[in-house]
Amino acid sequence: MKMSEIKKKYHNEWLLIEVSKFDKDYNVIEGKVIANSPFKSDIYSALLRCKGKKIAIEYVGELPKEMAVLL
Amino acid sequence: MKKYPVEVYQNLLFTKGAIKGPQRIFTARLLIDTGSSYTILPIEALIAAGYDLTLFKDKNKIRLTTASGFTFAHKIAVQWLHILGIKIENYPIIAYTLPEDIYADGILGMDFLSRINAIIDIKNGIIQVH
Repeated sequence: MKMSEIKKKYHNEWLLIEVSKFDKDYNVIEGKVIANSPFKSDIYSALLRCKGKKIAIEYVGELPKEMAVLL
Repeated sequence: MKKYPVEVYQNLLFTKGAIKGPQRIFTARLLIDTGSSYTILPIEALIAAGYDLTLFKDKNKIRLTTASGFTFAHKIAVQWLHILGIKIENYPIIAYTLPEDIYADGILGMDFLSRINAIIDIKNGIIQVH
């Protein structure tokens, strides 16, 4: 599935994608979604079980309107 | 000099990074943080990439001071790191998993930004690299 199609299908979720094609800057062009969740921790759990050689973690959708980060 | 677009959201800047480990390549979403000394990636992703953190000795750990206190984290040299169009081999990063509510997997820190002599144009959402 193309990344443009993936972005249409999923919304406000974290995705784990087995990538079949990157561009030269390692943006995903095409791949298969192997896990999706609103929670990043679910994706990390799936990541430990995945077998693919090229993997991408992506967030698709909008970020919260009121978001503050202090690290 | 090359210009790379970054994602600007409120007062935050995000980009993507690719990392090569012994078993696989993975890409992750990074928060650009000039307040961070190091580039940070999640422990789970590094394990998935093929790094066995149990094999790293305590001498590879560094003290990581955060806004809420401090912790210790492994410093690992990944086979290569590719961010903003620049690939650097054998690059040291910190293995640390950020909290859930930060919409990023890791942090692009001053170590990398300094090395590429980055100029951040916040208004236009662009980073210039040399």
